[in-house]
Amino acid sequence: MNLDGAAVRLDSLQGSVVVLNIWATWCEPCRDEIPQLQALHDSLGARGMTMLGVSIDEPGMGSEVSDFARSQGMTYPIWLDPSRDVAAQFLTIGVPETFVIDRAGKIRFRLIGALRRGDTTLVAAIRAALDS
Amino acid sequence: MNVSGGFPVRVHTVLTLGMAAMLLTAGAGAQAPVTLGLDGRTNSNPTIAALGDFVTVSWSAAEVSSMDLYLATSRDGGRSFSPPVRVNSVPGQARLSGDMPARIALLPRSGKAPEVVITWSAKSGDNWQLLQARSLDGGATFGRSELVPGSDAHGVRGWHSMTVDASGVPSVLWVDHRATVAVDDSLKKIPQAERPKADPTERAQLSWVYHSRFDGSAPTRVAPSVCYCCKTTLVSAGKATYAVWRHVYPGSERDIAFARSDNGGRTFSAPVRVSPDHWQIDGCPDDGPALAVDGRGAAHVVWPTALSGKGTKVLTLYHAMTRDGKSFTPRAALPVRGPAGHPQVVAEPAGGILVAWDEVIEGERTLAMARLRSSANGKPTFVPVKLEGTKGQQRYPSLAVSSGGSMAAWVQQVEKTTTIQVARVP
Repeated sequence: MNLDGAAVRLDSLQGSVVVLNIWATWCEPCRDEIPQLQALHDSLGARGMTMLGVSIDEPGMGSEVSDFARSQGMTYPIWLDPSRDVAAQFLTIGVPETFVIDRAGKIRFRLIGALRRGDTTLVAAIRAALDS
Repeated sequence: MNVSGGFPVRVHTVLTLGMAAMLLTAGAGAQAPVTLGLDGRTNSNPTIAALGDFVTVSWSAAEVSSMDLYLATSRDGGRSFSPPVRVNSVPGQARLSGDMPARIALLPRSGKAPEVVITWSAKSGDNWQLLQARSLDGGATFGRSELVPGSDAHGVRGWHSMTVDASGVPSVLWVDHRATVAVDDSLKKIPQAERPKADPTERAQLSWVYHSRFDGSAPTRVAPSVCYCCKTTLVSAGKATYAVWRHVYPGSERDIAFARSDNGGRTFSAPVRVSPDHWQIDGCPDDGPALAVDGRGAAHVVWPTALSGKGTKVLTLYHAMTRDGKSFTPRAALPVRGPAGHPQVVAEPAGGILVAWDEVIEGERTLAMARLRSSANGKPTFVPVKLEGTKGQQRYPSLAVSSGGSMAAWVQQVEKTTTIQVARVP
C-alpha cells in the first residue's frame, strides 16, 4: 500500500523506467543515499523515470515512515511492504537495494547496499534504460 | 472447523481490551499447528519459550501506525493457549521486527507457574527503548513496563537477546548506538546532501554490544564495531554465557563474532570470528546469527551470509561449532532449497541440534527445518525435518524445547491475513 493506505501494484508502473529502492527508516545507509535518490527524481522524473521507495518497516510504522519521508525531503512515492513481499520477489539480501526496471518490466541494474557519492553506475543505468 | 489432517479444532472468540482476539486450540494429541493472533491486526514477530509443560508465545499485533506486544500461555505443553494478554503498558508503543522480536525468560518457582520476564523494543520520540515487564501469575497479567537496566540513554538500540544464568538471574545482550548521537548532532548544522559520508567500518566503531544483568550491576560494553541491525543471541549453559552477533570487520565485512563469559557476563572474551566469510556490504543485512549450546558444552552457531553466483548474490545458511570458545569447525552448509535467512537453533535433550529458518521458493517464503547429524568422519550433515499442516507463506520461526519435545512458532500469511502458528516438531 502507499502512505495513504491505498493498494498499489508494481505492474501499474509498466511503461515507465522504474528505479525501485528498497529501504527502511532504521537503516543508516538507506538514509545516507536519500539525497542522491531525491536528486535523481528531481532531474530525471520529467524524462519518464519513476523513483519509487519501498519501505520494509514493520506493520505499525506507517506514520513513522510518513514522518521520516517528510523530514528527509523525500517527494517521490513511498510504498509500504511490511510483509516484505517485494523483497522476496526481488531476492534482496538486505537494505538498501536499488533496481532499475526498464519499460518492458525487465531488471536492467541492481545495486546491493548504499549508493556511494560519486558512483555513476546507477545514473548511467537509468539513462541507458530511458534511451533504449 | 477442521484443519488439514482432520483434527478437530475449537474456535474461541474472546474479547481482550475491547478488541476481538482470535484463539484456536488444537484437540488433545493433535499435531496440527495451533493458531494465535488478533483479528484485524497484522500478527508477526513471534517468540516461543518453554519450561516443562509451561509454554509461552509472544508476538506483535499491529495496525497501520501502532503496535502492541501480546503473550499467550499454555500449561499443557502447547496443545491449548490462554487468551492473549497485552504486555506493553503504554498502548501502541511496542516496535518489534523480524530480527528484533520480544525475548522471554522463564524463571522456575517451586509449586507455581514460572515467573515470566519479557523484554522488547519500543519507540519514544527519537529514542528506541528496551523495555521489560514481569508476570508473577503465569502470564495472566504483567506489571508496568520498565527500562531494561543499563539501556537508559539517547539514541537507537535493540536487536536484543536474553538468557537466564545458573543462578536464575536474567541478562540481556543488545546493540546500542548511543555513541552515534554526539556525532550525528554535530552534523545537523550541515545540509544533509553536504554531510561527509562516513566510512562504514569507521562508523561501526560507534556501535557497541552491551550486556546487562538484572541484578543491579552496571552494564558491560562487550565489543564495538557491531553491525547496525541484526539480531544478537545470548545463551547461558552451566557456568558460561555465550554471545554472538554480526560484526563489522575491516572493509565493511559483516561476518559473525562470538564471545564467552565465565563470570556471568561481567566480562567477555575478545570476539572470535566464527568463519572468514568476507561478506562485504554497505547496508543492513537485517539477519543475525543464532546460537545453542549442547549437553556437552559445545556451542553451535548458525548464521546467514551471502554467496556470489551468476552475477548476483544470494543468502544462504551455515553452521559451525566450538568446544573451547576459541576456534570453530569449518563452516558447513545447511540444506537450503532457496535464498534462506532468519535462522534459529535449539539444543534438544537427546543431543540433537534443531535448526529452523525461512527460505524463498518461487517468490514465497517457506518454513524449513533440519537436525544436525555428525557423520563417521566427524563432518556434520543435516537431515531435513518436515512439519505438517503449514499453509500459505511462513517466515521468522522461533524454537523452544518443552517437556514434550521441540516446538516451533512462526508467522503464517494466507493472502492478507497473518497469524502465529505453534506446533510440536516431529
